[in-house]
Amino acid sequence: MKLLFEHPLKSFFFGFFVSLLLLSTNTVAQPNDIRQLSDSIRLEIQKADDNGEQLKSLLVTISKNRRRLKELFKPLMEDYIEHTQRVNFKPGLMEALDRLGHRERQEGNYEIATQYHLQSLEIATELADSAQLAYNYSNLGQVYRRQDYNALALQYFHKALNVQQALGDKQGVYFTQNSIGATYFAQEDYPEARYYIEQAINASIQYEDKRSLSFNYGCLGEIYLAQNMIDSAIYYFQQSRELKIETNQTDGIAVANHLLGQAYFAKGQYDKAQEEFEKALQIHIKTNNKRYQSLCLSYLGKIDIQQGRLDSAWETLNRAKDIALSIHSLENLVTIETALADYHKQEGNYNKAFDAFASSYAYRDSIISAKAKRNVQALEIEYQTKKKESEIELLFKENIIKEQRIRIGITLLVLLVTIFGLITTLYLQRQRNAKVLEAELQQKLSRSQMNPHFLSNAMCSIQKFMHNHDTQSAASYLGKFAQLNRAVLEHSLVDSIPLDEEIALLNNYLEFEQLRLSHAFSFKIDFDEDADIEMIRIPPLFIQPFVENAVKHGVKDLDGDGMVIVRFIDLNDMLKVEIIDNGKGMIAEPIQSKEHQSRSMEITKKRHKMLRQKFKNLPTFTLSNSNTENNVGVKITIHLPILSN
Amino acid sequence: MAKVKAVIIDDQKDIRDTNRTLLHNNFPDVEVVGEADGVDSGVELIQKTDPDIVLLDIEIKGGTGFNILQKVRPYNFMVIFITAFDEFAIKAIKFSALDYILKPVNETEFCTAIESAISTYERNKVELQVQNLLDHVEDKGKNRKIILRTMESIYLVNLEDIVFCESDNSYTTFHLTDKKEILVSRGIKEYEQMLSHYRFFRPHQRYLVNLNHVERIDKNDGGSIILKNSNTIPISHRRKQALMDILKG
Repeated sequence: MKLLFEHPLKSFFFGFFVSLLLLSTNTVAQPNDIRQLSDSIRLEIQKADDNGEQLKSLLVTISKNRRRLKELFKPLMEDYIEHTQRVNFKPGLMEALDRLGHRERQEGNYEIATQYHLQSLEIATELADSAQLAYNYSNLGQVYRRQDYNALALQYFHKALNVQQALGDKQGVYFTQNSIGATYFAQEDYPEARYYIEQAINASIQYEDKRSLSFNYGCLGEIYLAQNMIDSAIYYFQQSRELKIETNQTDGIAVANHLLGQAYFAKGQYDKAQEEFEKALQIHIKTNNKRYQSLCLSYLGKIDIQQGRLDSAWETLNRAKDIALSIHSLENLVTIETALADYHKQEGNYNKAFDAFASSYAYRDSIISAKAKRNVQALEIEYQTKKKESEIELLFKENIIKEQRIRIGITLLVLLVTIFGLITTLYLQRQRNAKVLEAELQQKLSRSQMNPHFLSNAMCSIQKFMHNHDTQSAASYLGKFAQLNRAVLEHSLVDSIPLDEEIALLNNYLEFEQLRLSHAFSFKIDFDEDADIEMIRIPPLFIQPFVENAVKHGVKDLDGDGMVIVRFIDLNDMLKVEIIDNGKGMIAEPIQSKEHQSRSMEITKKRHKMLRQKFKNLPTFTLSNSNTENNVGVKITIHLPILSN
Repeated sequence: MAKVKAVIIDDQKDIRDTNRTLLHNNFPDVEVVGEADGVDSGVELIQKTDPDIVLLDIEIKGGTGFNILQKVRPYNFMVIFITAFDEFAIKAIKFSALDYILKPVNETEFCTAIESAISTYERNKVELQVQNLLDHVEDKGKNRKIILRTMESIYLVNLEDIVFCESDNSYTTFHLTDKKEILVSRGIKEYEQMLSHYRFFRPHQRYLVNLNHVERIDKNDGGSIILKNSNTIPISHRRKQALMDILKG
């Protein structure tokens, strides 16, 4: 027997590939594939003739695929045996007989299994192959143990143990020690059982074999329970359960739970017992282990009787009985009938109680008459050991497949990550580009605001003031110009500004233009006095170009009658801005000097379009006549998003 | 009454001339006793003339105006900075409640700054202000102290001791951890700009809150901030999202 083969790549990675594995599992076990595999191996056997190396590797192939081959395994093995007998290849024959014997034991054909193992044993002795000898002894022990020939089983186990100790096969030793311990337990020889189980415990601790340790702790607990040392039993059951949780043996956890339940029951702690049995029952139902379901239910029924819940007891015990009958579990039936007798007694129905007692004795008799007083834990251990043995192969095989799949998986993962990375990079690049574009537009706008045209206009005005010796106006004009310059610069560097700063900038700009145009117009900036204008944040430099437009093409030449109104209306998630003038209106718009206007307007339009890509509900801006009757004046309406920071 | 002595330290002659003219035209009691264009000449000028006012540019020959301040202690003068747009320098100046004028100079702003400096000038307090300024400049933003200048006095306050600020038009009241209140004649907006890097947040037009003093957010009635000292600050619905973003981040 070998140790469980554990692949180092576990945990996280496996979880990730589960779906992948499941996908490809379907393609593994096609019946046609198996037949082809079986046929091709058979052909290989014939071709190998008496080539020992080839025959050995073929046996390995068959063994590795034995789960997959299912019912084709045995005939193939039989052919192999026949062939090796004919060409007289003894090592192959010996091993094949042992493996076939193992399969036969699994199928309950104990007599045939015994025959195969004995034949194999014969050859092993002839070839003086100690390792194979130990396998055969151990397997023979198991076959006898299965049939409850405990004394015989012990003989073979001890033989196996001697060989394994001589060979220094330490893992083999502690597996066998466990088998011996369990067999002694079945014989109710508790001191011997404890001795071997404790040996096995020490070794499994030394090898950090938590799985074996969990079984051995369970055995030890059972030994204590059988000897009525309940506290010790509880301690070891708990240890066993912890390890089973750690090694993720779901069915093992449930077994530990119901053993604990039995211990608590024996101690009279019915609440605790009930809790454990209920936990165990849940898992046994999930794993469809009927024998244990029946066991748990029978104890739950007994607890109900102890606690006076007779109705519930009746129902639970009958459930237990139905299940026990369906699988002919005599041990459980004894317990259940005894409990039912108890129930009827409590109900005062002594006739029925007697009947139940009679049934319980009948079942007990049939157990004794079969001379197979089976022990639950011994069976479980054997079952688990056997399972473990096949698991070793299974895991080995699976791990190869898994490794291949992992390789494919990793390739796919790398591909996916690359694609994902590429997409993300592209997306980020695009976002960055959009941001850069937006920033560039903002910069361009600020430059277009401070364009040479605007600068020369400003300088001309200053010149005019100087020629008129109006230093006060010149200084004031220059001061406003500096402030405007500063504000436009600052606003071009940020993503959002509070409305009060926008208003200050517009105010400054309009005053500046008033000075330059000798007060050809008056203006009004209109907003709700109660609005918290410092809290409303909008994208910068959107409104000024429209206001500039209104001054230039609307009110510039109106000699004091001009009026520009900028109105802010808070629509909660956006800000509606109206820029109204009482100029000549749209029709009479002069073509001259349109260059600058179209440039900053063009940029502003582009920026607004970008805004509307981000804020889908933002309306486009509209132009209309401010006075529809006289067809004069322009009203521009523009919506800006209110930003959160 | 003796004249107030002023010196102008700036590397641009045009600016020096403008400032001299503006001082001459608006403040007849002020006499410009000297000019300099760099760190060394500036230090020498201050030591020689013992001025009452120093108009000090930040970018000058041989270094910065701050270098001059490092070399001329104690400060027996008031300092008014003249600077082009320089976010970091202006922030340090504001944290020390010193006066400054932005270039190009606007006459109104110029006069306001000079008047403010003269009216609140007290020698021993300039020391505190300039020290705080230099701490800010040298620590590159690690200094967490601010000067609050009131009509009567000057306070050096740790930022962590400020619980919240309350606005009343152009005045701001600072509420400190020791229940002290300091009323400053500056708008809350200016402090918002200065302090937003130090986990201060403006949840409402009237309030600026030190988020380190927040106990919890009450989501009832449109939302409010409950401070550790159990004061309640309303949250404007426009600022709710930004506040949540900051508190989560």
